[in-house]
Amino acid sequence: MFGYVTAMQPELRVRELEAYKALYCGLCRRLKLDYGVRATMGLSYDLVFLTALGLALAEEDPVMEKKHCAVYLIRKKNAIQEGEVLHYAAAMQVLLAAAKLEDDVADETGSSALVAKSALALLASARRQAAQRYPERQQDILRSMSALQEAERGQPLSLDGYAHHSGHLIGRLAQPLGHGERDCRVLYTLGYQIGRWIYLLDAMDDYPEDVRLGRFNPLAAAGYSAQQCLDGTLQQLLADACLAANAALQLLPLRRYQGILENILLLGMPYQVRHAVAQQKEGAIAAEGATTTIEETVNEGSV
Amino acid sequence: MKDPYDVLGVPRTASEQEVKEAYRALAKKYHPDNYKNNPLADLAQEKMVEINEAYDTITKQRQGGGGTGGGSTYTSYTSNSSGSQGHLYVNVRNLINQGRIEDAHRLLDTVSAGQRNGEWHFLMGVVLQRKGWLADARSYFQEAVRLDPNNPEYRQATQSAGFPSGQPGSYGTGCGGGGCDLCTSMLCANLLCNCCCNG
Repeated sequence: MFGYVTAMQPELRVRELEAYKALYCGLCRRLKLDYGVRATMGLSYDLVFLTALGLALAEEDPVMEKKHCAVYLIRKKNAIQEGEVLHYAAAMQVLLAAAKLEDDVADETGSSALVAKSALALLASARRQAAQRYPERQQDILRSMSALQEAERGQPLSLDGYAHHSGHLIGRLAQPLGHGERDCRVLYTLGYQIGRWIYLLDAMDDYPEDVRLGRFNPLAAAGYSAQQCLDGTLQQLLADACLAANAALQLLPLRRYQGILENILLLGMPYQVRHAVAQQKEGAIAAEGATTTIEETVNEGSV
Repeated sequence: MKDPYDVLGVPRTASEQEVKEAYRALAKKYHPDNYKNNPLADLAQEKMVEINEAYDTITKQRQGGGGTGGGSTYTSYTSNSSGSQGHLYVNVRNLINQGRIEDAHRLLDTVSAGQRNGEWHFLMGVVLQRKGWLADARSYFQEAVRLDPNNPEYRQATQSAGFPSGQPGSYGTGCGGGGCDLCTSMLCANLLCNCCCNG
C-alpha cells in the first residue's frame, strides 16, 4: 500500500513496539501461508492498523509465537498467530494491492506500467483466492475504484467529492471487524476518515508530478495552487481527519492495543503529513536552484 | 448495569481524588463539544450518560450524597432563520436535529444559486460535517462567515468548535513540531540494532 498509516515507533512503549512488530510479522506470515511468498512483497504497515483494530475488538487474547523469517534467516521473530482477523487482513492486503496495481497499469506509462503489469500477473492467483474468500469486500473495492475513476474523469468536484470514495471503501473494509450494529457504525466512521486522509495525503504527494505531467489531481481540480498545498490549509484538513478518526476510536470497546492505535492516528499519521510537506518543500527549493543556475549560465554565456 | 469502577477505569480502592480525576478525564474526552455535529454524537452522548451515572453511583455509595450536574445534551440547531428562505431553513434545522441528513441536504439543494446566503452556507457546512466531509464543510463555514461576518453561530463553526479540538500532535508526550530528526535517527538506529542484535 502507501505506507502512510503507520505508528511513530519511538513514541511507542517497548511492549507496544514489540506487539506492533509482531503484528506485522504475523500478517506477513499469514500472507505467506495463505497466498504464497509473492503476496508478501508489497506488505507495509498500513494493514497492520486494520489487524490491530480487529484484534483490539476480539474477545480472546492473540497468541504470540516465535517463528522463522526468510528475511531474518537464523533469527526467529515474534508473530501473532491464528485468528479470523489475520486471514481477513491478509486477504484485504492482496485485494487492495492488486487494485492499486491495476490503477497503476491504467495511469502509468512506459516501464512503470510494465512493472505494474508483471506484479499484477504475479498476484493474479492470490487475488482470485482472496476474492473467493471475501467476495463482498472485493465487490466493495471494485465498485469504489470504478466510482472514483468515473468521478476523476467527470465534472470537477469538491475535495470531499473525490475523497468520499476512498473514505467509503476503507469504511466498508473496517466495518466487519466489529460485533454488533453500534460497533459497525463507529468502525465505518473511523475507516471513512482514514480513507479520506489517505486519499488527500496521496493527492498532496502526487501534486507536483501530476501537474507537471498533466495528470488528474483532486487538489488541482478543486483549485488548490502548489503553494496552498504546502501552507497550513491542507494540513489542517488532514489533521481534522485524524482527530475525527480518533473521536470514533474512543467509542470502541477496545480490549487491547489502544496505545498503538492512538499512536498511529495522533502521532504517526500527522508525522507522515509533516514528512510529505518537508519533502515537497525541499523539492521545490532544489528545482528553483536548478533553474537559477541554468539562467545564470545562459546570461553569462551571452556576455 | 456495568460496574461503575470499570466504567471510570479505577480500582475499587481508588481514593476520592483518583475517582474525581478519572471522571474529569473521561468527561473531557467524551464531552459533546468534541462530538459536535459528529455522526457518532449520539454514541458519545451515551458514553457521557454512562460516565455520569458511574460517578454518581460511586459518590453515593461512598458518601451517601453529591453527584454531577447531569449530562449535557448535545447541541441541537435551534433556528435564528430569517429572510425569504427563513421557513425552509427552519425545516432544514429540524431535519438535521432528527438525524435526517440526506433530506436536509436535498432541501438545501432546492435553493437557487442566487438565494444562497450565509445561513445556506452554514447549514450546508453542518450537513457535510455530519457526513464526514470535513474539508468541504470548512469551506462552507468560511463562506458563511464571509457573507455574514457578524453572526456568532457561523463564526463559532469556523473556530474549530465543530471540529474535534486542536492539533493531533499535542497528544500525550507529543513529538510535535517539525522534522523530528531525533526520532528519525533513533528509528534508524533502532532498526540497525534489531537487524544484528536482539531482534
